[in-house]
Amino acid sequence: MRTVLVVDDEYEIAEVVGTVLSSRGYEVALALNGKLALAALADQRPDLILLDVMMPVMTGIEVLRTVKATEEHRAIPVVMMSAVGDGVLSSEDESLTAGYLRKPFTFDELMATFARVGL
Amino acid sequence: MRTVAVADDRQARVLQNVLDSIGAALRGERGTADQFASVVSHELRSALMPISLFVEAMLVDVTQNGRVPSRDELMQRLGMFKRQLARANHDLKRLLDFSRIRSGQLDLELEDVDLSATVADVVAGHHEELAVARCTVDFESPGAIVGRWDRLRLHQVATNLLSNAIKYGAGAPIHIALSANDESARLVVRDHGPGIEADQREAIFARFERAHPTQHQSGYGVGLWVVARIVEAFGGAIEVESEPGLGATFIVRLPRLM
Repeated sequence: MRTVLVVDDEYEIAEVVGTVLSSRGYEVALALNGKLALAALADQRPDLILLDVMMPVMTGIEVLRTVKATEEHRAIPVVMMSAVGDGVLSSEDESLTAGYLRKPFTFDELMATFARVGL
Repeated sequence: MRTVAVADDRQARVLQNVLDSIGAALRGERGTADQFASVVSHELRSALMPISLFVEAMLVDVTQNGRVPSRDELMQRLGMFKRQLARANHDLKRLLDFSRIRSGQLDLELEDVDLSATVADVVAGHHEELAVARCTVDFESPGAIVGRWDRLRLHQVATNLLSNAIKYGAGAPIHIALSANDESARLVVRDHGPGIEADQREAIFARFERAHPTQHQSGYGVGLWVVARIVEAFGGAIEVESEPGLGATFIVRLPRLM
C-alpha cells in the first residue's frame, strides 16, 4: 500500500487531505509540525511527503532540506503546499521538490500532482 | 487648492514637519488596511479549503467512480464535515470579531458562566486535534468558577489560547490551570513550544500578523489579538511569560463581576 505523510500545522487541512487520500487507498500519517514530521519519518518511510511551507517551530523549507540531506530519506518525493504564491521557494529549494500545490487547491489538482509524481 | 505663503525658513520647516507627519499617518493607515486584507484573505482560504476539498472528493466518488459510501463511511464523513463547518464558522466569526473590534463594536452579553466548565468543554472539543498533535493536556481546576462573562467570548478566549498552544507546542504536554478568589479568576495556558522572543511578547497582542513569506514561518494570525481585546473588554488583563526554547505561559486575569 502506498503511504503518504501529510505535514500541515492547520489540523483541519491535514485531517481532510488525509481522509481524502485514505478514501483513495493511501495509508496516511499526519504531522502537525516539522519536528513531528521528522519523528514520523523515523517510524515509517512514506512513499511521498505532502509538506506545508508555512509552519511554526520548524518551517517546511527546513524539513525539506533536512529530508534531502538525509541519505535514508532523500529519494522520497516531497510536494510542497502553500497559500503564498510564486517565489515562496528559492530555485535551489524548488529543485529539491517533486511538485507544488498552491492553497486552496482542488481535489483534481491534488490527484493530478500525485499522478505526475507517479503515485 | 489654497496657496499658503510661508514667511520664513522656520515656518517652512514647521510646515514640512506637519506635512511629513500627515504623509506618514496616511501611509500607516494604508499599510494597516493592506495587512488586514491579507490576514482576512489567508484566514478565509484556510477555513474553506478543507470543506471544498472534502466535497469535491465525495462528488468524484459518486459521479465518476460510481462509488457510493457505506452508511458507516457516510456517518464518519458527515461527522468530519460537521466539525470542519463548525471550525470554519469559528474562524469566520473570529474574523468578524476582528473587524468589529477594530471598529469599536464588540458587544458583550453578560451572564453567569462557569469558567471551569467552559475550558473543559474547549479541551474536549479539541481531543482529536490534540491526539494528532501528540499533545496531552494536564488540566487543573478547583471546581466551578462562576463569573459574569459573555459565554461565547469566554469560549473564544479558551479556544484561541488552546489552539495557539497546540500549534506551537505540538508533540509536548499542554498545561492548563484555573484558580480564583472572590474578585477574579485566573486562566493559565502553558506550552512547551519554541517560546517567544522578548521583543515579541507584547507585539503578539498589540498587532495582528499573517504569515511572513520571507521567513516561511506562520505568524500568530488574529487569534491572540482577538483574545487580548476580549479580555480587555471584560476588564481583565493578559500577559505572556516566555523564554526562547522554554515554551510560553499565557496568563489571563478576569474580574468575576459577581
